[in-house]
Amino acid sequence: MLRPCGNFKRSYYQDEAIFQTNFQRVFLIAFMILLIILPLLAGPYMVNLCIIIGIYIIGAVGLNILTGFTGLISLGHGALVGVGAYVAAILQNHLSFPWPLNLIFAGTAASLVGLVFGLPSLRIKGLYLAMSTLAGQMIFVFAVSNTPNYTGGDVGISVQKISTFIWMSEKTFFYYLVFLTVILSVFCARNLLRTKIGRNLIAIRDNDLSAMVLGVEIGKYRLLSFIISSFYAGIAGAIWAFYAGVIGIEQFSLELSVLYLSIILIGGLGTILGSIYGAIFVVLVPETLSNLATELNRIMSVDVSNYLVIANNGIFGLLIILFLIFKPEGLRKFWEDTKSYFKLWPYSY
Amino acid sequence: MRMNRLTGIVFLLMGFFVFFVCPALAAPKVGTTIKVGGLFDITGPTSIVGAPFADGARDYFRYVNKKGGINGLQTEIIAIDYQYNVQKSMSGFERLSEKENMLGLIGWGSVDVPLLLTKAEEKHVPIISAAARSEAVVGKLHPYGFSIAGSYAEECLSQLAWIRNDAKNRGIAKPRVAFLHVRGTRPDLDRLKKINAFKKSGVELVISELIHSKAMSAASEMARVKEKNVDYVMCEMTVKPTVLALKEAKKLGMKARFCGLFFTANKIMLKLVDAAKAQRDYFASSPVAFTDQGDIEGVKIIQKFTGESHKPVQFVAGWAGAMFLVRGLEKAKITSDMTVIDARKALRDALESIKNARMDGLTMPITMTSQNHRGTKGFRIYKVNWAGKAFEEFPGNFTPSEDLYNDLYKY
Repeated sequence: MLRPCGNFKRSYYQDEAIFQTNFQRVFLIAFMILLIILPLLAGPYMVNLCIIIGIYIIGAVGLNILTGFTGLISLGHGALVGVGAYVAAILQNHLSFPWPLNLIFAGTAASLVGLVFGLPSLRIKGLYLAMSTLAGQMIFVFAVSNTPNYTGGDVGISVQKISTFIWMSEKTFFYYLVFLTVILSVFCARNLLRTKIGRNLIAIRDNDLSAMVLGVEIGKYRLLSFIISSFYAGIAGAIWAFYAGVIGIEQFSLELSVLYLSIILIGGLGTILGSIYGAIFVVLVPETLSNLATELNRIMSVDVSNYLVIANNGIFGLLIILFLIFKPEGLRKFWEDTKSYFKLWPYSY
Repeated sequence: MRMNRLTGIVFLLMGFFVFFVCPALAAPKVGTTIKVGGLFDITGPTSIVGAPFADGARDYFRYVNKKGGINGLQTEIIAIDYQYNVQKSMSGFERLSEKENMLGLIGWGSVDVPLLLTKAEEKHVPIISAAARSEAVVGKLHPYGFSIAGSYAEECLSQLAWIRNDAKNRGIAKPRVAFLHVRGTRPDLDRLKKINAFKKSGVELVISELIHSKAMSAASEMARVKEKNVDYVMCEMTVKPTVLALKEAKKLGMKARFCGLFFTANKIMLKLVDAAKAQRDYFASSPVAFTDQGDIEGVKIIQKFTGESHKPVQFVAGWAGAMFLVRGLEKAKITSDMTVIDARKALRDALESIKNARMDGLTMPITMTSQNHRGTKGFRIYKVNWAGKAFEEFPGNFTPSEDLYNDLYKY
């Protein structure tokens, strides 16, 4: 059979297609099947890691829409995740709504707060906007600390368990919930970027003045970006609240906002896949290093655990620095380069 | 190209098998080594107490192994640095319970433990909070949560008992007290106010001030405290803000006596106070002994085993927590062919049946029942001896009244 050498496109529709080749389609289906049967094969430890990765992916996709596609820096994403978590927890504890409804309300509440966070973006951008979202993060901490009757204040609150299927373990249930939410999130985000809205967001990121000249209402689209991004953050927070069962203010600190920024930077700014790679990286790398340290400590005659713990942090930090130096486009680019290398192998070009 | 893709898929499947399938096939038996877990903040924001605490727990298990282990089985403590991060703590717990098959867990008892208690119940893993800083840990009965010491609020009750006694000796009829706190300990103040703890202890709370844990100065807060002309200042804070408060107190020429939490009872605090030329009239409460108390049996053992005459009090807490866990493991009669779940349940039952455990004098004797998983109520009060740069026990019994103690958990 003769096959064309290369991946030619004859229309813009082909160029914008999510799956560029049949192999991609088959590979994705196979990967999905693998993920569906994973809880049957893997232990609860692995399933837990997958759930945490999934929650990070949802939040990171949201931040990537804001920062990666619209070019707006936010240091308040952790607070928006927190808003989702607290709203879901309060609704779950005090109202007898079904939990999926609480999940949607949590996302909506985070969107509304995100809208407020985004208002300064009508006038400012760059570092100034980062500072204003940082202020939002601080206000969130202050608000939670000073409303102990609803949020538990500095102590935190327990979240009533959500009803799961009787024939499925709680962990497996959460795995599938996160799995479906991730697919939906990625699907929506990927398609959003192929619409007029997505193209406007990218135009604002690339050059807001030019976008304005071309007729893009930049204020409206910036706010829209904040709303969409915050909805993702709220959903991530709500799922975390249901899964963890206990939430506290220290879970949604500035550190979480910085972690989300790290995820999209490491994975690849301005790509949906980057959010996925980044989330996998920040969860699995420290976990693998910690596992390695335990094994290393076992085979060594003297206890070196304290040194290994410090080395772990050092190695993780070093990996991030090396990535930013040698692959500033993130893990997504690294993956694409690796694929290209093997596609062309043994030829360089 | 086709071969390359095929190779990629084969590698992917192999990786999947190695990372996901193999661990799931492992049989959960105790085996020849009794494994316990430790979730410690070794490099995070509370590492000043977390790191020595982890050292104490690890050293105790080394000490047990050197003495022949538990019922002939060697022990292993798998320590995870959770960096005061709840998500890390959760995945650490999953790893320890599902992958490492730990029988019990030791932790400080702060931000992460309330979250883990629900998970612990599902997996039947007893959690020992050796220092038990959180009300949520000790406040109500958790089937798998055990605490060898009281909470911050209980510690405050002991301090109030000490203030009342000390004021009497100084001829002060009704001592005026200021309460300094960080954000995290404010709920303790609220709880103490709700149960009228100050009034019932015969002291008057005249002012409370929040000093941020990352504050650079406590000048304005202490100026307000000075205006109130207080006799005692309770510092429910970490080391840094406490030192800032003491420094300002010295500058302002305050004559009040300061007392603080177990958190601050370490030599780093003394060095910082010295360096800052701060107020030196300082007392600290502690549920465990100091290694400066050479006449206590447990202290002698620590000094002999580590070869060091001084260890931080948090080290002693880690050592004592691990000792309590080992007492339970010994009593549970764990054998290598027991399933992990059975061994965990046996450990829990054994811990619940511990009566008057001596703990080598490192804590007050500990008794647990099926209705009470709180260890000791007693806190010792220590005064800084600046000549010897050491903490010396202040004589007296500062156990809070039973009524106050019970009231604390009504809220």
